[in-house]
Amino acid sequence: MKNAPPPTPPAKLDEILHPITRLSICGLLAAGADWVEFAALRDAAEISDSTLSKHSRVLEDAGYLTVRKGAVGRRPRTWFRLTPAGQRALQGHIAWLQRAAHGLPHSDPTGIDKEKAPDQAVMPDQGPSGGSGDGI
Amino acid sequence: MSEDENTDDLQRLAWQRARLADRVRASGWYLVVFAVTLALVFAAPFGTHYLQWAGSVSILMAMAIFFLLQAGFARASGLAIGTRTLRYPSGRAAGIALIVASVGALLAETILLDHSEVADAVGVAILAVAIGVIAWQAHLRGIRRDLRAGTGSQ
Repeated sequence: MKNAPPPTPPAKLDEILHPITRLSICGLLAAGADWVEFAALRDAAEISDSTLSKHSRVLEDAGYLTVRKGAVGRRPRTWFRLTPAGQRALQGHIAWLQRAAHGLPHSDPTGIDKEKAPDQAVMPDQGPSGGSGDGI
Repeated sequence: MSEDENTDDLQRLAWQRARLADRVRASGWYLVVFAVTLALVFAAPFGTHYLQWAGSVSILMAMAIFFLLQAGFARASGLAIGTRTLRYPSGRAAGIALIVASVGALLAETILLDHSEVADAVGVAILAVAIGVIAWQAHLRGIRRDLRAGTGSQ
């Protein structure tokens, strides 16, 4: 017997994922690999080490990604993986972006994830649509 | 945020995923070690035929090398694709083809060795290694396609 596919999360704007850098990080981690190494993620997203560190910390604090640290010889290696919560949030946000790109109305006029917006707001140096300038 | 900006974000994400997927490429060393792993698997019927314990040792060595190979691949590419690689939909067909061809080759070798057709059994083993390497490359291409589309790891 086949398992039913998990229900698609509702389309909604996620304030944590809205900055393009964080969307890139989560989108790349959601592509399908088990774990993605720091340098691979940095190169694919074309961001600096510090930008990736900063944004990955925000995503980790939000429970969207898991960080595993190790070492190869003396060289430290950091691996990232998206959590199920991060996967759901990303699907909802991508759906929201797709609706917005096609000019479709949202069920919630603001489209903002109000559960997270007040206490897990975007970083102080970025506005709601900020981050597009840092490295990409 | 305008509709164009949202479209740009999605396009940028697709482009970045394509670049990440490009890291899943089998280099020369990877294919050589994979061929050695398969050779150990297809040497198992010979080991069992001539020295009973050698077949099991050969399979165990192949498994150990395969896990080390995948770990090395993760280190080199920066992407851990795991060892349960049949979960990538586009790579599944090639993965299943590899398993079916392997089982068929192992059976054929066993039967040929029982009939003392050693040269034919060696030929089957060599052919199976070649087919296995080609199937594995197709499998990795499938994984690349899935990573590009963002549909892997199901």
